[in-house]
Amino acid sequence: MTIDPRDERLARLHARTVAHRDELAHNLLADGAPPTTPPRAAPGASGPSSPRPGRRHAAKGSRRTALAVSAISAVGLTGWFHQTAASSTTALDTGSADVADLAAAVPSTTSTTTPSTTTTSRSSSSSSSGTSSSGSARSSTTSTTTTNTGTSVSMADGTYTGTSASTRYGPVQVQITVADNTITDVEVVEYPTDDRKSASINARAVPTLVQETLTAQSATVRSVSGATYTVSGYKKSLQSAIDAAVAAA
Amino acid sequence: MTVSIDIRDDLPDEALEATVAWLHAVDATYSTYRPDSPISRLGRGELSLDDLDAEVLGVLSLCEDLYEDTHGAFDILAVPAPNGAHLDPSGLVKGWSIERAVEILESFGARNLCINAGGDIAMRGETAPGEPWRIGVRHPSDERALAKVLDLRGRTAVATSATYERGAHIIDPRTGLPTTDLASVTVVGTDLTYVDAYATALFVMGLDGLTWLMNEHPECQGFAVTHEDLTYATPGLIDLVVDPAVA
Repeated sequence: MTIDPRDERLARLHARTVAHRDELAHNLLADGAPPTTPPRAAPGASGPSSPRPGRRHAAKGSRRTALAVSAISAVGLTGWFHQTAASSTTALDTGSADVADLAAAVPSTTSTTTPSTTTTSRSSSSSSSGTSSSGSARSSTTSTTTTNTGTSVSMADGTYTGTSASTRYGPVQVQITVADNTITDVEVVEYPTDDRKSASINARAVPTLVQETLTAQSATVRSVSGATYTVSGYKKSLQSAIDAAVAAA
Repeated sequence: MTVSIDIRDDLPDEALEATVAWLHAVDATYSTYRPDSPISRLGRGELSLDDLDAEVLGVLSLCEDLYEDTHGAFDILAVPAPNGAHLDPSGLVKGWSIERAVEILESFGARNLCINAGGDIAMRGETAPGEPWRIGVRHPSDERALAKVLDLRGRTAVATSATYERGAHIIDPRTGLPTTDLASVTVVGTDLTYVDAYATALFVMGLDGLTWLMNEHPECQGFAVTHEDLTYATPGLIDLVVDPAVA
């Protein structure tokens, strides 16, 4: 007699469901209140136990090593160097800054743009306003750059190398080029990977450059991936911005 | 959830009507926002697995497969659904239903299309001859920016899991505690059914998830953005990223 593998899976699902319900009921009786976080499925009911992916990776050895750091936001870097320039007149002394600290220390310095899309010969939505139209439409591209400090700060022209910052996968070090009080180039000079091909990515995450490239890219972006804030928060998704721009055309 | 359908071929009206009808049928069966849907009723215990039809059983069976594959990171029993029950297969149903929608359109002759369902995208063919589908991925902390722009050709699927609200957390079903690693994770593959579920699982797994994806599903690529605005990617992802210098 062959066992339908689907039946097996459904049987496991059923077993886990029962175990789940028992645990929930037990918690209700014990506390008199529903649990605020979902309880873990009962051991044994979840099938053969397996190590978490991270540990399994270690057990297998490093046949594929750490992942490449492909970009570091200029947000943190810009503000950091602004702050440091205010306190030191010569070369930057970033101390032992962790990259995480760099980004966290700085309120947003962003260059932004809203993407646009060209419309299609036929497009529609199933549950809200349609976006059918012909021809092409472009939403406005805007960019804003704001600095965090209340007082104006000047950066000297030149190239500056930050200290090596430790990340979960190894050290990262960035180098910036400054001209006319603007960061014109950012390069990641050390990557936490021994795969040099992956590490050869040049992270040109610079406010003005990012603005220009996003502008260039957004002119042809067709669709945007990303979870919506909440189900009712669809309006915040970038895709709705595209749809509205198309509808207004 | 709004679905945007972008078709580059000429199709009869019936094609879109059939597709929309399918999506409504999926909603009626699987929506956890409808108390009378079979999935909601199953969640309340009003229905048992024996009461369900083959399609629903197939979907649930697939969910269980993914539970095993992701070592529990993808778990439809883990978190309370909007209807309060501990059964929410939405993380799989969305991608699965969109792939079936694409098949419906293909049956009417569509070869070049892009369907975006709440940020999860399934594509076929090209935008125009020689032009790939250019897909932007939302930046998790700057709502007006894009984290990456990808050029995708042929049968491709993209899904992103993220928390865009400060303080919002995804619960790790293995611990019951909020995850902390990632602001967003994006998976690229060929089948949105799986890509959608992998994105959910990877978000739960944290940075380890990209390693899992690389080793267990090399047919997929992915990248994650941390709360510190660092980006980590599988080695093959860079081939898909639009190079700003030449864009």
